[in-house]
Amino acid sequence: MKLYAVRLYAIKLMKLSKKSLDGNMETLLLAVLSDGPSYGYQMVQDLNAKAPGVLKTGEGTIYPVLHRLEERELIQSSWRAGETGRQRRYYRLTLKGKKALSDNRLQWAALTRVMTTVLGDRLAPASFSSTIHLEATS
Amino acid sequence: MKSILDRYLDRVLVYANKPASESEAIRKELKDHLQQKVEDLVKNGLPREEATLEALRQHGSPKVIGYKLRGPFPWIDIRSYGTARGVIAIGPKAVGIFAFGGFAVGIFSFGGFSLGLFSVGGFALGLLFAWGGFGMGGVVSAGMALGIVAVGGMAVGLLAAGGAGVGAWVPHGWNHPGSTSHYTDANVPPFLRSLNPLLNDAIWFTDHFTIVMPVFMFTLIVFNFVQYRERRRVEADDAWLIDG
Repeated sequence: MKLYAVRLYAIKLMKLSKKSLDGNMETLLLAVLSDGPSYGYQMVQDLNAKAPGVLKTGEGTIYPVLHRLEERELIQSSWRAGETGRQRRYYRLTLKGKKALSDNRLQWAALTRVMTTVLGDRLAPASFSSTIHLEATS
Repeated sequence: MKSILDRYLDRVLVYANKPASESEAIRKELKDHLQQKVEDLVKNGLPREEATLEALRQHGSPKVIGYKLRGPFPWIDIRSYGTARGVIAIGPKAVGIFAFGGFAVGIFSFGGFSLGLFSVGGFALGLLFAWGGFGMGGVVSAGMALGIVAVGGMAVGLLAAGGAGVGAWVPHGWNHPGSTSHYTDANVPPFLRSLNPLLNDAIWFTDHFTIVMPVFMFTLIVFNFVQYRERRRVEADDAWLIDG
């Protein structure tokens, strides 16, 4: 029973809140596009491969973000035929987008440094790592 | 007959409320995504029908996606569900320069519960002016008022006037039975006395009730009508089984 409670707590910790994701989805999509031009479905696959469950509110929610990024000229889109022959909208980073991504990376690095310095070992409670260990050995 | 994918996309576009040319591009893009998803799920062994439903489920609520496609803060945002955000915002909850809603937050806010610099509503909380069934604010004119300067059937404030006023100072002439005043006209501090003109402005609203009330009612009717039209527009589309 105790182990179950600890596991639940650990799962809760691992889940990112919708609020914290919403604010950073733009940066995530810019980062995905920094590997080269891509289209919505492919970007979802890439994001899910790197961070499963990151699109918890639905895969379709990336499109409003992509359109917003395009309005701000951080990315550009063009239509061309995909492998299936269907017309597909491809996105690519603009110079402005590359600069924004680089700025956001710096911001993140600074924030992570501050949080790690202040929170230190308390970033994850001891019960969290022990749960991972218990799960691995059971 | 339309496919399930098309009906889902209709729903997204109803909420997005974009011009026709833009809507077509969004439909094409989202449909490509969904078709690709279905094909991949089928390849993984799901029957096509199940794959279609699973693809839609993973794609997310059409309401959420549609509303998000509207952009962050348009000139006019009218919603029949959730929070409208725009220069003019009309919705169950509304945030804008001019906000109308069950819960309205704005510079000028009108609603059941309204919060703003100038607020009118059943429960109004205004930094400068509040007018409502229950008002709290800088200058308040209401059935039940609370504020720095409050006027109303029941008023509570530093400076209060009403059928029953509760305040630091209830000026002479407004001192009806049931009123409670800490200061009298003789010993009221100068800063409270200097607020008296504000009180007179608020009293104007009460004195001109016959003018103010129709304007307020007209505003409410227009707001409700606009929201009703939006609801009809959304409901004109078929009810959607996955709508969440």
